[in-house]
Amino acid sequence: MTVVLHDAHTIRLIGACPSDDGETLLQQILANPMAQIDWRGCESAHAAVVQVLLVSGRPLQGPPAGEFLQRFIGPALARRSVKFDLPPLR
Amino acid sequence: MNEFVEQFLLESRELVAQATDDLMALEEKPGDRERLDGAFRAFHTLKGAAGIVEFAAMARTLHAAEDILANLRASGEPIASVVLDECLTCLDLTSRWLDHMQAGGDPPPAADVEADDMIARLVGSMDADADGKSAARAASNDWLDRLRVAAGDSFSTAISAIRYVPDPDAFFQGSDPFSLIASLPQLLIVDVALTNQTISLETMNAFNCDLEILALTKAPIAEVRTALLNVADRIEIRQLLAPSVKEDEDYSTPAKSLLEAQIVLLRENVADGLLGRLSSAGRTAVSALRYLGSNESAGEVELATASAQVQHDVEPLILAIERALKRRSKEEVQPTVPAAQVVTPRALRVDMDRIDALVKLTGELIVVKNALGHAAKRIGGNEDTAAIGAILRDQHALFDRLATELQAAVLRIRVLPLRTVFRRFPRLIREIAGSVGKTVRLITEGEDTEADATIVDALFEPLLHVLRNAVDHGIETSERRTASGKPPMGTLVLRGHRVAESVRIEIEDDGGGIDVDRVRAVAGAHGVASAEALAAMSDGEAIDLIFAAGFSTAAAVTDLSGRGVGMDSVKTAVERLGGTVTLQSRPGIGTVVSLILPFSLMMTRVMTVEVVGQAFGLPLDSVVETTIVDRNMIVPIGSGRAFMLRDRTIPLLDLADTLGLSREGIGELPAKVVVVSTSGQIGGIEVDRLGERLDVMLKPMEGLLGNMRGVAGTTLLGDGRVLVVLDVQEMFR
Repeated sequence: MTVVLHDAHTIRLIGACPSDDGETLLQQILANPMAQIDWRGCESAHAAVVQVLLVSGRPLQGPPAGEFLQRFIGPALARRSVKFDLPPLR
Repeated sequence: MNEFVEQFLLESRELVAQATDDLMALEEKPGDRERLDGAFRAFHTLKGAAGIVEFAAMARTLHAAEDILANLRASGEPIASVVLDECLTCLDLTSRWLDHMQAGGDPPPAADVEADDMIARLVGSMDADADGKSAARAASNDWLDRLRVAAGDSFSTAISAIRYVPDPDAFFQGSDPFSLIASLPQLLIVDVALTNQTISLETMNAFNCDLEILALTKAPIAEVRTALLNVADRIEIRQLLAPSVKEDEDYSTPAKSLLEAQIVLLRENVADGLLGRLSSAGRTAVSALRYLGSNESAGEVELATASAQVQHDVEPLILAIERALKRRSKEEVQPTVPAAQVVTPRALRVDMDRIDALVKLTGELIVVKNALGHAAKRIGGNEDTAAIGAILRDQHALFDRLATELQAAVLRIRVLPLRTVFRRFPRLIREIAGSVGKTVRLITEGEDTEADATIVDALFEPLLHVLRNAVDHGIETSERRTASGKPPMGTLVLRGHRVAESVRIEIEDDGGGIDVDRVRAVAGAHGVASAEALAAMSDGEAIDLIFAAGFSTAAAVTDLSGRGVGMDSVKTAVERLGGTVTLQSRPGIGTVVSLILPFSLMMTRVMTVEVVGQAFGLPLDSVVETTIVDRNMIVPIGSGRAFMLRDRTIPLLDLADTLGLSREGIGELPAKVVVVSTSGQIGGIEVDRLGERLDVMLKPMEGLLGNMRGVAGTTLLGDGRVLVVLDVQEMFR
C-alpha cells in the first residue's frame, strides 16, 4: 500500500505510486475531507495520482522525495492550489 | 524513392484532391452531410497514410483537421467558413509537403514548425467559430501565456514550449504521461491543468486522464519531438528562441556559374551581334533562374533583357543578373514549391480497361511475330518467293495496324482529364477575388476532356495567370458592375473541349473587356512597339500586344499582377507545349482567352531536312509545301531575302545562316525551299536537301535547356542520330 491513511488528519503517499493509487487516493480524500496529504515519502507518482492531487486542490506536506516531483510537479500543483490555501491543521 | 513512398504520394494526392472537392462542395452547401463524411474520410485516410511513412508532422496536422471534422459530424452543425478555409489551407500545406517529398524523397525539414502553426490555426478557427463553445479548445489558445506566467524569468531562456494533452484513455493503456515529460532533455518547468474545469473530487473518474500538461525546455524542437514521438498526435510544440539558421548552400552551382558566365560574356567588348548576344544571355539567365526556382528574378531579367535591347546597352542586363545572383545567395532557401514543381509525377493511376487493351494488343502482336517466324522458315525451305512475299505483306499490314493501335492505347494511358488541374482553381479564384475585394464565381465546364498528362500538369501556371488577370483586370468591382447594369458578382468560365487532335481551353470573363486605347498607350510607353507601328495596327493586332514581352497594363501594382511577368509568360508556356494562345475581347461584355494545345506531346509528324550535312526536323503541321526556287527569283529585301510564290512575296530564311552554320559558298543550283505557315504567316526556309516524313516521339527539352527557344524538342532517328526538331514559329520571330 503506497497510499496510507496515517490518522484522520493525514494521508501519506509512500514510495512509487502507480496509476491504481489514483482511485485509492481519491477514495481516501473523499472519506477524509479534512485530511492533509503528506508526500514527503513519495519517490514518484503516476499522472493518475497527480491528477487527483490537482483536482483536490489541497496543499501538500512536502517536499516529496522524488526529484521530478520536487522540481516540477510540486511547484505546478502549488500554483494550482492557491485558491484552497488553507492553513495547516497542525 | 522507394515504392512505399511513391505509393504514398500517389494516394495522398488523390486524397487531397478528394478532400478539396468535398470541402469546396461544402462551401456551396455547408450542411451537406455526405460531403462532410467524404471530407472526413479523406482526412482520416490521409492521416493514416502519413503515419505509415512516418511523416509525423503531416499526421499531426491532419489529425487536428480530422478532429474538427469529427466534431462537426457529431454536432450536425453546418461548417463555418473560417473553419473551412483553414481545412483547405491545411490541404494546401499538405500538397506542398507532398511536392517536397516528390522532389527529394524526404519530408521537408520545416514541416514540424509549419505543422505546429497549422494546428494552432485549425484550433483557432474552431475557437473563432465556436465562440467559446468548447472550453477545452478555447483555453488551448492561451497555453503559451499560461506557461509564461508560470515560468516567470526562466521563460526567456526556454527554446521549446510543449503542450501535451494525453489521450483520455492513457491510464488504461498503461502509460504515464509524466514519465514522458520527465524524459525531456533540459526541462525547465512543468505546468499541469485540467482539460475540463468543472471536474471535482465527487464527479471525477480517477481512471480517465483529463490532464493538460505544459512544459518548457532548453532543448531544440527536434530533440523534443524525438522524445515525444509516440504521442506526436497529442502534442503541440512551439519554438520560442529561434536557433541560428544555417544558410542552405544546396542550390545548384552549375546554374549559378552559368549566370556568372553570362555576365562575363556580356562584358566582352565585341561590337557586332549585340542584340543576339543580349537575347541569348538573357534567355540563358532566365532559364537558369527558373531552374533555380527564382521566378521573380527571372521576370526581372526578362524585363532587363528587353530594355537592354531597346537601349542597345548591356548594362541593364548585367545589373539585373548581378542582382539576381546577390538575391540568390542571400535568399533564405524556401522549402516550398519552385523546385518541386518541375518534377513530374513518376507514377500514374491507370484505368484497368486501358491496361487490358494493351494486354490484348500484346497477344495479337505475338501472333504476328509467330507468323513472321513461319514465313522466314518457308524462305529457308526454298518455297515460292511470290507466295511468301504475299504472306509478308499481309503480316506487315497487320503489324502496321497493331502498331498504330498500340500507339493509341499507350497514348490513352498517358492522358488525364482536365479536372485534375481545373479543380484547383475554384478556391484559388475565391482567394484571389477576395484579396482584391471583388466577388467572382468560377464555372468550370468540360472537366472530363482529356489531354496528355504532361500537358495537363503544365497547364496550371498559365491558366492561373490568365484567371488571375481576368479577376484582377477583367472583372470590374461590384459597384462598377452594378452601375453598368451587370450582376454584382462577376462570372468566370473555365471551359475545356476537344477539337480534332487538339484540346481547346477557354477562359471567359464577363468583365469590361480590354481597353484597346490603353493597350496602345502602354505598349508605346513601354517601347513594345513604335508609334507608327501602333497606329497602323488593327484593334485586334493591338490587343495581341498584351502577349508581347515586357507588357503589363496594371495601373496599380497589386499583389497579383504587375510583377513584370505578364501574359507573355502564358504565351511562352503554351507555345512550349506546342500550343497557341488567342484572345477576343468585346468592350463592356468581356474577354475570352483561348489556349489551343495538342492532345498529346508524344507523337509529332516531322519532315527532315538537311543543311551543311546535318539533319533537322520541321514539324509537319507547319509545313505547307516544298518547292524549288531559281536563284535569280530570290531578291534581297532590307536585311533579309524574299521570293515570289504564286504572286505572293514570301520572306526566305537560310537555315544554315539562322542556325549559325557556315556553308561553303552558295551554289548556282536552284534553292530548295520548305514553305511553312506559322501564326497565319507564310515563310520560306532554304535547306540543302529535303528528307522524309516521320512519326516521332518528340522529347521536350528539359532542365537547363528547358527554356531554350527555337527548338521544339529532340528525337532519335532510326540510325541512332539525334534529330533536333526546330520550332518554326520562333525562327520567324
